[in-house]
Amino acid sequence: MRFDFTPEEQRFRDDLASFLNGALPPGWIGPADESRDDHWQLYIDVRRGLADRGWLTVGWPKQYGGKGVFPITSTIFAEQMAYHRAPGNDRFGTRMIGPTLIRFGTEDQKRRFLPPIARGEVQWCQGYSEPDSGSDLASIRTRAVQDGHDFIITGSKIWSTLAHRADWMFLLARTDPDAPRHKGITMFLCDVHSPGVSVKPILNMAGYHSFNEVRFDSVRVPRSQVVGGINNGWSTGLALLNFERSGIDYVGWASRTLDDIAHYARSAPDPDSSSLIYDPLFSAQLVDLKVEVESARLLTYEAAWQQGKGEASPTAASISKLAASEVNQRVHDFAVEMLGMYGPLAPGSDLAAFEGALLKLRLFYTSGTILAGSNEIQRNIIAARGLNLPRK
Amino acid sequence: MDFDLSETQELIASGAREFLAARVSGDLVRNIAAGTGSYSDSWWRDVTQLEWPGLLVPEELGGAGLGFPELGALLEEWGAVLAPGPLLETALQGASAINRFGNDGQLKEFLPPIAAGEMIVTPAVHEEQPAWAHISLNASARFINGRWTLNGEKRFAPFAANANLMLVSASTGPSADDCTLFLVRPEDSRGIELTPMKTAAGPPLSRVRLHDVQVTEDAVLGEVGRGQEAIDYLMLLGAVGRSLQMAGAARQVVNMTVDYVSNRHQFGRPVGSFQAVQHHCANMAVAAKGMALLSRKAAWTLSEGSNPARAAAMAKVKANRELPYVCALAHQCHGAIGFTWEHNLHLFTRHALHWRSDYGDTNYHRKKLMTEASA
Ligand SMILES: Cc1cc2nc3c(=O)[nH]c(=O)nc-3n(C[C@H](O)[C@H](O)[C@H](O)COP(=O)(O)OP(=O)(O)OC[C@H]3O[C@@H](n4cnc5c(N)ncnc54)[C@H](O)[C@@H]3O)c2cc1C
Repeated sequence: MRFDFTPEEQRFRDDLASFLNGALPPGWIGPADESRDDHWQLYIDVRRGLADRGWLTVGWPKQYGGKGVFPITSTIFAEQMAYHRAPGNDRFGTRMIGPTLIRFGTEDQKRRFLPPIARGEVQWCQGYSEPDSGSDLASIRTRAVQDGHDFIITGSKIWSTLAHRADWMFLLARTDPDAPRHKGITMFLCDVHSPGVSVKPILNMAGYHSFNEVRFDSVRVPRSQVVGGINNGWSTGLALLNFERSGIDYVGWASRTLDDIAHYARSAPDPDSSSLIYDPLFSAQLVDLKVEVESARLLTYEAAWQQGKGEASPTAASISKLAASEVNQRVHDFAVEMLGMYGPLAPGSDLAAFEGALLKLRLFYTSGTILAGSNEIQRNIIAARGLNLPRK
Repeated sequence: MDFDLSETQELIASGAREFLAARVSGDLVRNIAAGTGSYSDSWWRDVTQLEWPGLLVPEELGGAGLGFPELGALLEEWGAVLAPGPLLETALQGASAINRFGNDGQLKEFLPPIAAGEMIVTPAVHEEQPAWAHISLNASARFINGRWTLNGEKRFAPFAANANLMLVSASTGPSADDCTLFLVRPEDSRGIELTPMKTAAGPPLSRVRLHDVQVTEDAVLGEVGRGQEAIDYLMLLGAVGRSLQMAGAARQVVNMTVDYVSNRHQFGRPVGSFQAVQHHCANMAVAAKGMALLSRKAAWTLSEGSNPARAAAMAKVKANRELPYVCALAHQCHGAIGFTWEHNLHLFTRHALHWRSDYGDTNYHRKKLMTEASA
């Protein structure tokens, strides 16, 4: 047993932190709003800077532009990025479609699509959900009909994060409407700028544009852009979700905000003590959250460690996502609460603490327990597959 | 014990439900929170026709002469739709504080116009720190040549831009407790500067800067140097009023959610048929019910019971803890659709965050209860 990082891991962590401190604007408190051109430019610059150092895809095999290191390093990467609230961590390319292509892609697909991701040159987005298909993903109705060497895609995707900035989308569509639900789905790679694709913004509850509705009106996609075989999209698509599912981002975000508020509390006045940090009610809540964040962090690193050994338990990722997304919400809720009447002041108010960033994060992270498989679904998985509870 | 609403309370609540359902939309709430709403034009004018601002004002002064539980029944409905108007500030805080601390002349001067809906009241009592924290005031009032001169800055004054009466606290002596509450009419006073504070939701708030604002001796509410008592009373009323609004909001969020999960289908069945979702709804409903009872008890205690401060602290701790929780579960049940700007659910979340921060945050009220528990 060992709970520290190796010297190389520690060096990587420090190097990444000092890169980020240089790459982010002085006093950056985030979060990035990628619909803003200046923040999007920052995203692109950071992504490129990370790629130049080989860090963006550090966990990928060497021949595809990675460093072939143990998944712990990828976890360190994601944790640091989140801790700095840094834009530029391209999850869709580096953590979803990249690993999926490495495992299921053809040689041509790997050569064509992986290097631009590793170089930090393209943005991917995800087209799974539809208006009537959220948790029940296998019910999707977007159709793909074969036409010679192409497929013609028609339908509607929704909630596609960053589709307004994306070059490419990986999506699931129904190729055999007569087959059983899970057997008639195929995964496609689609150029978002193809004729017939239209992207419509949806404003989120934090007040900015992060996701979209994407419509496909007879969009032509060559057969060479099918991933994992025709009508085999369900298992390919689920494998991709398992690459995605980790709590590490939440752990990074939560740790950062806990540090921010502890710092704030050291100088904040308190009616009963010399400063808020000495208020026992406040500090009891603070340390409870620290314990929970550390617990979620270890659950997450353990999942990555198991994965590195090639013996990941079927529920490790679910456990990590569940614990981390929930403590992250608690941390941000607490952060806004402890700022008192200044907490709910909006970004743009001259008296808002942290420029209103913590409020924005508090509102934004409402989504963490819904997306990437809702936490109810994760609990179902843990109960059924982890604990083998009876199903009937 | 009798948990039923009285006939009058029931009448007020059902009338309010009908009126508010027709008049308050998510867009009205959004616009007023964004500072772009012109609530003072038609919406608030129509409210004043309903005699709600004068519910607590004695009959002989033009009001309805009712008690806190009656106004409470209205505030629950008011909270349920996030109605964006100065009802709590005017009908509850303004009317009761003046009624309790005012002299005869002040009662006659201010209560009839409040009851007639001609006067909007705002407490301007917070500074850098909230008034309930009992931190000594920076704003000061000096008595020179028979007039008081006020200087300093107040913060977080709700609806101040529309108010024609401000309850302004200022220090009137060397000791921290030595403060006084003044009735200030912005229209008649020079030197008041308002700056809007951008809020996530909840009432529009302002910073109020006072530059040599002059008022007469008659403007003192209660006694000079005894303002803390009046401020404490404003905070107490605020805590009870907010708890009632929060209880109403929680009930509404439960209803919205039950409705949504009964109609949203996944896996060929309503998502509300999954036990995980059912348990969320049950937890929300229990929380909302508890909030309603504690806040009603606090309103009743203000009128008839003893130790209203304790009942108010309990109601506000409960509301502060539960409303954000109820909203979080509601988000959970709604999935992505509830995460959109267009959906009204986040308005409840935003109000919850604001409401739990004013009139005593959770730890403040907890400490009050702790002091009492250890005494
Ligand atoms: C910020 C954000 C970003 C997103 N980005 C993307 C993206 O880039 N690409 C993409 O494809 N999708 C994206 N999504 C969509 C996301 O994948 C869905 O929101 C998620 O799958 C849940 O579906 P739903 O929102 O339709 O909720 P529903 O499936 O309608 O669920 C409603 C409620 O029912 C519960 N429920 C449903 N089924 C069960 C069950 N069997 N047992 C117990 N409870 C159940 C859910 O847990 C939830 O509480 C995003 C969502 C958000 C909020």
